[in-house]
Amino acid sequence: MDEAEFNAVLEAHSGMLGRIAASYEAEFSAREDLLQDIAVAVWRALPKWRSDGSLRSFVARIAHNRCVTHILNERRHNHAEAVEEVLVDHGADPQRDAVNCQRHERLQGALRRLPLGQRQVVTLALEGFSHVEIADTLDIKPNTVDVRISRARRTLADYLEEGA
Amino acid sequence: MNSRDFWQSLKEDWQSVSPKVDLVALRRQLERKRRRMLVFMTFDVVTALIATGLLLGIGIPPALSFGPAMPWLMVTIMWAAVVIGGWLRLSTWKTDDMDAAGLLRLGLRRARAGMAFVWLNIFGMPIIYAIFAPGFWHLWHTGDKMQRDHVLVSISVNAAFYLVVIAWGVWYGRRQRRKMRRAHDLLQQLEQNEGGNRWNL
Repeated sequence: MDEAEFNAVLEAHSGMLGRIAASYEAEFSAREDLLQDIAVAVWRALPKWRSDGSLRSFVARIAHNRCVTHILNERRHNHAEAVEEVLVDHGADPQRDAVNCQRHERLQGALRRLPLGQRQVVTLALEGFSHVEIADTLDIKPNTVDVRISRARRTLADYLEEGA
Repeated sequence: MNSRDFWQSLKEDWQSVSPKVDLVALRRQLERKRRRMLVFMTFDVVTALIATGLLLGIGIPPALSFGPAMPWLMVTIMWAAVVIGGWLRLSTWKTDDMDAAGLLRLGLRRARAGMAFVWLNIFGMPIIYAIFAPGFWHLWHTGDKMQRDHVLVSISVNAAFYLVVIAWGVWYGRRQRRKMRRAHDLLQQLEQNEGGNRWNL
């Protein structure tokens, strides 16, 4: 694995990695650290990636595993608190961006309150993974994905209604 | 809003924001982290070896040193420490599988190994001291002033070191217990979605 390849992988998946990290960690500086840890883990694991599998699933799996380790090791539970700072690529319409950002933050806050299993499947589903891809990424059965998503959907709706 | 629309709107909200990741800064930090890890690892191994050697050297008065066999004894003790440490962490190097439950089980095993390491230090060190105690006793009663001073220095250094080990054990043990509690909580969260306990807790 040369540096150019690694850079390309990071660049291609930086959005997804940032969103996954944000679904586990609310505090900005801790999230930056988490992102670094994920990048190190991706760098270490990439040589093991078999080209017949999906690179996106591989990277997402590493990110989730790193996030689980992060929750285990953190000194205090702060991943459910409000986001302190959100860095966003600003487009041409700042007002629309601000609204999007607000809705995104609310969704992230709700996501961080979900139990771990549900949070993992929902994050991937929102990234556009199919149920089979989620099952493959998280190494769980497809019907477990269905169960978790259906439960998470109800819980998320409640949380979002509370926050509305 | 029906379920499909609700899900679609969540997807749009989720993907509408792409957190800005400064890749250049990230790569710089990554490089720094890699260098730091290497330096720390080297420092850790070297200081552990020096500290063990020094403690054994200071802790055992010359009259108790086993003559030409002394270096071998020290190497044997260090080797035993490395083997015991390795054995404790043997099961913690690899995860069974790469799902979240496997990782959490790994976290639990690591925390348990950490606790075992704490107990090993707290109870193992007095055993080593007890092995050398009769020699110290004998030297204290039969040795000259210089030898008695050496015994006093040895006891002071080892007692201070043992207190440090206990303080570290309390801090580290609390951290490991917290980690175990959290791993149990998270495994339970996963279990709730499975309808059964798959993880033999």
